Amino acid sequence: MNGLPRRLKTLPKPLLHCAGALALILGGLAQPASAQGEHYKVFLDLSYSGNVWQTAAANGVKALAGTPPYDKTVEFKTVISGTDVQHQISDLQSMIAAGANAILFYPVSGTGLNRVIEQGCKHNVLMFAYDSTVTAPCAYNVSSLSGRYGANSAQWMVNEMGGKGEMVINHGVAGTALTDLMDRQALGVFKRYPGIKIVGDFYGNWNDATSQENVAKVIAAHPNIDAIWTVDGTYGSLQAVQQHRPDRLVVIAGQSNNGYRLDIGDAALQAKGLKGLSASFGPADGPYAFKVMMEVLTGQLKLTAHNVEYPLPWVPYNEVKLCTGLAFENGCNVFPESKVPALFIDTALNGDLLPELNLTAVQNGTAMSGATIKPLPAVTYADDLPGVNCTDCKPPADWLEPNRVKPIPVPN
Amino acid sequence: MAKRDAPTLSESKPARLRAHAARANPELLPVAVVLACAALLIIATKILNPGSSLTQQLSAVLVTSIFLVVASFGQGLTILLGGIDLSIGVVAGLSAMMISVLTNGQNASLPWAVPATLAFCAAIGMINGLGIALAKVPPFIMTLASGITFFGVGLGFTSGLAQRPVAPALQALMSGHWLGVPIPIYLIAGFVVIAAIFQNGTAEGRQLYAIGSGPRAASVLGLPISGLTILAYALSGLCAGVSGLLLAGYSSAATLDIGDPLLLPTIAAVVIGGARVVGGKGIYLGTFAGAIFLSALETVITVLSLSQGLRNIIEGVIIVGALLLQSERWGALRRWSN
Repeated sequence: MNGLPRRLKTLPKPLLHCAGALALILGGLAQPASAQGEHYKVFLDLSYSGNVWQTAAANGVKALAGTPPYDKTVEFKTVISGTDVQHQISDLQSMIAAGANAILFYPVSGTGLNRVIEQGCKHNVLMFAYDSTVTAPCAYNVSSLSGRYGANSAQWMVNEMGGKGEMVINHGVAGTALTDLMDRQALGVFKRYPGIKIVGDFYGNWNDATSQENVAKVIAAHPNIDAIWTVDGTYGSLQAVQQHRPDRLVVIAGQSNNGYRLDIGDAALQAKGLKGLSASFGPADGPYAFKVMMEVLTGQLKLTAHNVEYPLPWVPYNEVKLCTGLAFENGCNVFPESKVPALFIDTALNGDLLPELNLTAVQNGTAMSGATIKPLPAVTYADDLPGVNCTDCKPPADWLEPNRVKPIPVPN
Repeated sequence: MAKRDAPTLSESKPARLRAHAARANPELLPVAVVLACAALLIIATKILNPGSSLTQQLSAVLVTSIFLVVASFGQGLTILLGGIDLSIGVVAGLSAMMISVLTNGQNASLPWAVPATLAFCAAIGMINGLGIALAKVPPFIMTLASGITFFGVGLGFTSGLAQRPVAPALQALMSGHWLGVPIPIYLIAGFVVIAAIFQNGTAEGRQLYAIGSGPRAASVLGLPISGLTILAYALSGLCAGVSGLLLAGYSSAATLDIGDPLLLPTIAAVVIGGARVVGGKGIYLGTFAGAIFLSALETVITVLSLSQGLRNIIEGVIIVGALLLQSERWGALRRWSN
């Protein structure tokens, strides 16, 4: 299953990279580069390992790779490249040299990997990026970016606020393409409503503790805030409001931590004004991309475009439904507090597209007992976004506008 | 110069006290200036937002500064020796994860889980100290390497997954009030007194100044340089551990990277507080003032909705400004005060 023994992952990163590259090259010497019969050599290249999101995504992929028939037909290896572009380039080159048939990777850079991606394509390696995207024309991107989280969540908030009120923006990580894109979409919506006043903003770095500290400071300076828009750090942001202004909560949009979903679905908190949206980017994008990639590799699916959309998770407060088992079944979308930690990301699961995964699978990276890989429904292709998932391409005219939520009129 | 600032170990007690007072006064001046700047920032926030409460702002600044106030004490001790501790963020994250795993949402295990967690964090610091003092590994390499290694250990044990909530008592500690004042403010007050007494009022604290000012002279004097170096780094690990416990209580849930944002601000707080980056100079009250100033600054920046580029410029200019002022050793202010 996992190419690197766990003890190796505890080594300092430079040693880890050397060991990984050596193992891959030696593996490549022992195996032919092309698939033999129905046997495939597949790599998962993670960037950063150690945060909740990345771990859940990686575990989902590992669990699928261990699910029949892939447990027999796929030789699966995982490599952690870290956050450095050069390391990821080096690791991808090693995988190509090792005879990979397909590589699923979390790209550290949208453009910096293009050369090595093209090198892989020339060797007939399927190159699939998940969640974050690359602009290399031969690569496949599987992402929720074209789901327009920024515009749709902002419009949802505006509608819930009645088009007016004081709000705070929790940006994410400065200098990332994702933060820039989401900000442009969301701010475009907010600016259309003169009654919406942004009284504070900060970079929460997708970190709940940092977000909580900053929201606590903003509330002290602006005791009447009505709403908080986030991409991540949502649970921490809401915790700050609950601590400092427990009787008057806010309209909030953001991630899908289990504790957050439980809160926004709580009728007692809703009575205090809490109206929450749980959406944003789900770790299940990784395992979904793996399934798409494997269907292409095995000839079951022929993609007509290179940008595939993973449907943007979308659970408003009035659609939160508690699960009784270990999987998202019968439309449920949140687990009881006793089953998972508050920061567990519920969008690591997707009952419709990934019925092979349950809670145990995404927490441990092991296949669900008795599961077999189910065929995917028809894929949805994503919008072309220049500089995001393509280079010489045109975006849709309305790519910064909401396409899921209908705007309310601007109040007088 | 630095050696002049260091206490003379053979002085009689009254002479030592006089020397200490003479040394402390000029060092208290930058503390007062930095605290006054922090107060101005808080007042500015109030002026910008007339509807806000000054008390609540002060409370928010103090409560959210507690992690920095505690962790930067340890950083200050290592800088006092002319070293640095780059493992602070990792140790704080490990502490938060460990207390979450050990308590698993229950108060019953707190009496042994807290000492076990803090002992583990102090042990990481002690390993840093051993490497620096005995193997003569440069501090930044030793602490960076140990940070990477122990992060790997944490990753191996937890796989980076979110942990159960910490014990409710720890959460209550960080969110509770006593006599209308948030409990973390009492904790800060107690910690500042203990830290200041250790650094400036004990023999070990004064010996750290002597080592930082002149390791060779300290060696000639027969000071236990290796032992004190190990002690300083162990205390730094311990403080990072305490900071991680408080972070876990504040956030009610822990992740492995929860302490990462702490590292650079701990260095900034020490520098802004007037400590000399090559060691031998600086008092804890200065570091405390630097931490409060950074917390107040962040509040103003957030309320003003400044772009991230401008935020970085402001923070960078302040740190460089503090270093430039050090080069003058606050000379102008001292001359003015005299």
